[in-house]
Amino acid sequence: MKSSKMKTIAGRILFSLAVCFLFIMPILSLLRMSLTTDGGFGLQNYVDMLHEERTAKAIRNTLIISVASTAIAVAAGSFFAFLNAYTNVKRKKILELLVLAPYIIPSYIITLSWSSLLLKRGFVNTMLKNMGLPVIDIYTLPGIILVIGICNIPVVYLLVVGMLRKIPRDMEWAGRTSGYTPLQTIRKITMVQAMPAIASGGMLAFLASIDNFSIPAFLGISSGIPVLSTYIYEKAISFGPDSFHKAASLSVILSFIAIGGTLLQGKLIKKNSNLESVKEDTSVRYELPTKWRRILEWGSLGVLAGFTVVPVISMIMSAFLKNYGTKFRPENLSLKNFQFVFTNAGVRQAVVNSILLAVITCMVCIVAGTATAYLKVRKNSKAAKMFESAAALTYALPGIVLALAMIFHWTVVPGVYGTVKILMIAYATRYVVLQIKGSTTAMLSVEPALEEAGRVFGAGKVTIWRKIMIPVMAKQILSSSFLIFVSSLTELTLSSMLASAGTKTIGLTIFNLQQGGDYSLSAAMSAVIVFIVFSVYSLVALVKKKDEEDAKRPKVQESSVEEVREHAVGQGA
Amino acid sequence: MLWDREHDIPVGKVSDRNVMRRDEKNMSLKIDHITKKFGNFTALDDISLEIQDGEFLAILGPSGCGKTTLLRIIGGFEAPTEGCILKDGEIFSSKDENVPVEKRNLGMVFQSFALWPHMTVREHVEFPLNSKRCIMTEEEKRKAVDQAIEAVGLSTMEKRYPGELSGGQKQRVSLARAIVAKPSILLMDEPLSALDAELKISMRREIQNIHKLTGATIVYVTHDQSEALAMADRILIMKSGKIEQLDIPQEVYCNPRTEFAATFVSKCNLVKGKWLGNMFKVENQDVVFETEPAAKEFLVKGICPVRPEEFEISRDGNGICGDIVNRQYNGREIHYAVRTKDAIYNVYTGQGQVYNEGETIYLRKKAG
Repeated sequence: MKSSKMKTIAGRILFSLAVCFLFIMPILSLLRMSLTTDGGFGLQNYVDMLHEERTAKAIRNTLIISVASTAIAVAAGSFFAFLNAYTNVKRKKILELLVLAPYIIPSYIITLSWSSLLLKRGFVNTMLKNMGLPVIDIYTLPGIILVIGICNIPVVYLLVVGMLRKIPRDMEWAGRTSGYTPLQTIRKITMVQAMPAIASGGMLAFLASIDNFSIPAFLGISSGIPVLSTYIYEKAISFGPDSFHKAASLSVILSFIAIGGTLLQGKLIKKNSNLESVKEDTSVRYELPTKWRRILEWGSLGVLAGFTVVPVISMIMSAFLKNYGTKFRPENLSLKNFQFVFTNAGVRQAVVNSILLAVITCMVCIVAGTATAYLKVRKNSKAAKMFESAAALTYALPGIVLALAMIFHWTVVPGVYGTVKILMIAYATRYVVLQIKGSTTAMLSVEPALEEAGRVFGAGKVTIWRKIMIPVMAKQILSSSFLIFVSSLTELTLSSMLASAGTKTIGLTIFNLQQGGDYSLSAAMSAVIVFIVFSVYSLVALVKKKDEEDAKRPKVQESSVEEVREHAVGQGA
Repeated sequence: MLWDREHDIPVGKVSDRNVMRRDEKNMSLKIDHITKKFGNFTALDDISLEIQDGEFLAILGPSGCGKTTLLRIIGGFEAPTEGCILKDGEIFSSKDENVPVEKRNLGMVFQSFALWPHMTVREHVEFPLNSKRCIMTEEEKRKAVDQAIEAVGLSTMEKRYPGELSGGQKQRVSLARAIVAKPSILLMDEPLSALDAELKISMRREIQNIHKLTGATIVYVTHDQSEALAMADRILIMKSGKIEQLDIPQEVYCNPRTEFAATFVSKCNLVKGKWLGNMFKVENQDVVFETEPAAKEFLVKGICPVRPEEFEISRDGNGICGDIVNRQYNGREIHYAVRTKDAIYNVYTGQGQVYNEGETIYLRKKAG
């Protein structure tokens, strides 16, 4: 008895130490580094940093970009959410797919696509020039704002569309019967109800834009527009005198903004929770007149296609060009860029690395995340909750900051930094919280009674997991791990700092090609990635669809049974 | 009297054919050949009826019978596919012309309460008065709100939010909100379904009081026949989008017109046999009921509807022979299931009449 108790206490201590070492220590190392000065400890690094003109510029740019891009994401995300949730527009599935496209395509590929579309001598700008209009340059502050805004539309959309569908129709009808017109009801009732979701989506978009590294890196580094994330990157790789200390102090500043925002967002989400159990209602609430419906429908599809599809197609087309920037004519076409992508040893290594990393990250996250969710939901384990909070903290940190923290922490341990191991650790620590959340949702949908019933009928622990828990939760768990898989497959921020010569990733290879001026090669590789990502996505969608169809069939039988029963009752048996 | 609305219509314990008709154009809600289709599905099939001003009409039927659709069309949330609704002689709803919900001078109570989480009790009740529809001075508004809140007994809870109220209190807020602007029509969509059994009964009284107080026309949708019987002036029984019967409660209960009305409302046993004037000979039995002829449908089909309490059980050998297969003691009465050669009948007896399961007994229809 006593020894087993000792064992559990020892186990708990060991577990806590491991969590501290993996999640908390890196952050403390970063903090220590930022406070370390020549003469010991102090705030000198911060003072120095804030005195640099470029720092002020980076902070200003970050704020301008984040606020403006959030405004775009909130306006567009909420608008499309309203259109899709409430109105009678048709082609809602295509509309949603287009809205969510930036969620699936890595943001650096969207950036590359936009820069290919708005090439100085490209089709669009040539046309503008011929019409006497000014040429659009994407390598500017407004350019960065636009692309980040587009990339953050999905996060706002997803939160708002779910909320709108959950607002009971009765609430609006009660407003109408109280004497208010549909527009007044939307303003006084619907908008007020949806506000927490919109605000929370806006907060997430804001956090995502200060976290974003790849877009300002692709568009801002060459044109001299620093933001905090790229500035930290530049400082960290410059290896100048105390550049690490300065990067660390900047990171701490950025982290405070990010963690503050995350906490605020958590509060906003809580405000929503009273509607959590309400079922989503997808029926049409506002019938638009045919003319307006068509204008909104085709207008939205057009704008959304312009956001992602057109630029991506333009980029794919440019990948077939012998020389970047020439006209798309038969004599200019060649497959040499693709030949490079498929034969170059460095590219192959990067693809292998990324796939390996994605698979391993996924597996680690599924096991750790689901175990944590189980302990949290069923056993109310404090250790599991602590683990989740620690994992949420590393997720809240901007990627570039986490990367820096990883460097400081893991250089102390031999044989990690400089190998692929540091990337595995970094990915797993960053993404595991997503799996904990997904598995928790899955676990909550499994009533404890299901498990208890298994036990009552004589199944052991292994059998219960194999025959009951896993089959019931599998779909939900896999949908989170799909997100983790795609994110780590196309990751750039962490790998830009942590990868070394042999451990480059897909994202980093594209980034290096672009920074080196090999636009055609980076376009060709991006085209391949878009193809792969969409294939994986279609496969998942296909499996889902088949599942849904399978799930529908028995329901039909059920309802026919109901009918028979009702019929029997009607006969007065 | 809380307010001075006239309601001098004799709210009728009279069957619909004899309802006192005032001027055709005046003071009524006329539903004229309403049909509603959703794609290929016909939710309402040629429904016509007239609701008198100040009447309490219950629409009763099982789920999917079209009762909620009819209420939504009256409310203006849906447009009919065919037919029209006239309010005081003017078009309210039709295929082409649909007066917007907010201009209909309605109040509505929902099954889900439909309270707004961000408003207090008082704000809920004030809300209809702040719309453009309402022309009252601030003083009148304040008074009206006070009166409505008092009428539902929530004066001490004015400042609470919906999250701080119980189910019954929520529905009272919903009632106060519905009546505060003195609407001429009150729509109620299963208002008591979300409440527990005890509360349902006490809220019935509340709704009856509101009806007396406001004199508003009430259209009350429910699937619970006891609610409809208890409160309504008339009951409209619907099935599969069609009207089965429209009558005062006593008629619906005692003289059902269709098999469905008989089984749904008064839980009748449908005894097969042959009608001969005031006699009904039970099929395959040497038993004859002496009884008033039932509605036409029953005469044609050769069925006699017998309510469970209209059967009488005896051991004397007279009547339909059967075995007791189930007994449930209910306090005031005992419910028996009796299996005869052809069917199983439900019988309710007084609590003194005890028979054992498996016992062979005889069933007769009580005289009168």
